[in-house]
Amino acid sequence: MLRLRGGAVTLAGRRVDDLPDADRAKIRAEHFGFVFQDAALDPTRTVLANVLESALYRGQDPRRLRSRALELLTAMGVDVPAERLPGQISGGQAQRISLCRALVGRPSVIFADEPTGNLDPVSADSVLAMLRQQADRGATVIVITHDQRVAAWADIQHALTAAEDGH
Amino acid sequence: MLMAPWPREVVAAALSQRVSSAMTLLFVLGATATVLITAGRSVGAEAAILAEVDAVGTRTLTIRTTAPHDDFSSLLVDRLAAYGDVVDEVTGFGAPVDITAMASGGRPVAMRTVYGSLSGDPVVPLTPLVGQPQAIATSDALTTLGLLAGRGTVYDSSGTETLITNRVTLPAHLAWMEPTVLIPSQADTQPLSVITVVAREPADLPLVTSLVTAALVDVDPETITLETSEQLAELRGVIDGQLTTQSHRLVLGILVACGFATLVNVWSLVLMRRRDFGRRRALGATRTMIVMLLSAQVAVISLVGALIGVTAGVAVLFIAGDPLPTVDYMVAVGAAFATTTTFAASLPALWAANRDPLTELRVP
Repeated sequence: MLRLRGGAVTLAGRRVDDLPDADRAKIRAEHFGFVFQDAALDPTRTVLANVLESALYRGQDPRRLRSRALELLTAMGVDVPAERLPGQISGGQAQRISLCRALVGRPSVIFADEPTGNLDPVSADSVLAMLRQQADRGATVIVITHDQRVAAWADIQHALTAAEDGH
Repeated sequence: MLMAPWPREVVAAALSQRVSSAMTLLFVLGATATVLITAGRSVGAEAAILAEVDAVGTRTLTIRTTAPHDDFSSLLVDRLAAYGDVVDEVTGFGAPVDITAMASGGRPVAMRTVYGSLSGDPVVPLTPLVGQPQAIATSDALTTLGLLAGRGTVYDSSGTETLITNRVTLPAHLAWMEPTVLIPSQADTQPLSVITVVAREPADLPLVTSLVTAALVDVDPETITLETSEQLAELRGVIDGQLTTQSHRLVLGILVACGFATLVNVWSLVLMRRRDFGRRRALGATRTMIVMLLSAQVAVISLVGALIGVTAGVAVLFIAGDPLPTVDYMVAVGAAFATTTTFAASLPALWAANRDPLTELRVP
């Protein structure tokens, strides 16, 4: 999404940072899964529609992924009806729904920004277990966290310090 | 019925953004209904007036002769009828003779032979009954003759009998001939006294006039008079479009206002839902997808609004007893508003599609 100031980004041996916007969007849809810090669900659409959203951008029919989406919601312990709106669920559940959305397309790279930030310890463990499962199946999981306990799950850790502009 | 993923997403997005969708729907509905009730009424009224003018005969050429001439016969009628691409109908009439319903007198009515076609149908000669030629008469003629039953025998000055067996309604351009009795005749070389030619379109009349003039080259011009409805045709030309000129400005104004209102409405939606479009872009939606999603959303709502608006406008005109515009006009109004609002929506859609998704996702 960002234009590089230097260096290069390669995906499976292919340089991708200099591709046109439409190609980079396609790569995001087909290869990446995002877990945003604040879940970033569409408040006007149901839980299930939120989980299935990215299928559209991959050119898939969301209905074909319905059963997988429901499996993921169950696995993540989202015990609310799939037809409920995000405004009617807790922040922790929203975060787990966000993870389901990231995983429904079986991405090869998962970016998770504070994926356990809004979760109780038990739910956090289930999220981390799911991310570990993705890593074990061969996906690259990149987690940004302030939580040392979460960092301890990672195979590789990079510590970052705040720059002058706060980023 | 199952819908493809993107059309379903368009409908779902439209339904999920209820306030914005309802406003767009109301803009288009109100605008199309207003146009139909105002400008549409003018268009309907103009069409009705033009139809009246046409009925009087903006397409008619009447040729009269004051002296019988061999070239002024059914042959000329056939020759003119052959110009079918510009000539709609040619009718020839023989010289009138007075007839009455009583051998001893009574109120006279003109009787003529008729040849060619009349009111779109070819004139078919009628077989004489008991030695009497058969004729047809207009309602006025039957009333004048006192033949209220619609049939009866009439007599000319020499006492020759003719049997009226049927009623005929003359087209508007032959109203000058009322009341009259007509004897459908076969093609022959008997001279005619009047030939009427109806052009296919008012604009064809000058060409038809020149064709007739060329066909009459052997006839003494002193004995011929041509009556065209060119003045009516000119009047038609003046009326055509005049009533609706002001309406066009009104339609344009409403179109611009509706487009601007939609632009503001959709731009407000885009500003309120910046995070939504940022999320979509981050998850892999291309810029084209964002533009298409928003534009299609507005297009669908606009089409529904236009359909309801046109229906409502027609209902109001119908209930008020006002003239209705043509179906083409209604379709054009609906399409114009749907197209305008969709185009208006594409501007904020382009803006939304070209925003940096990371920036948009950080919007509180």
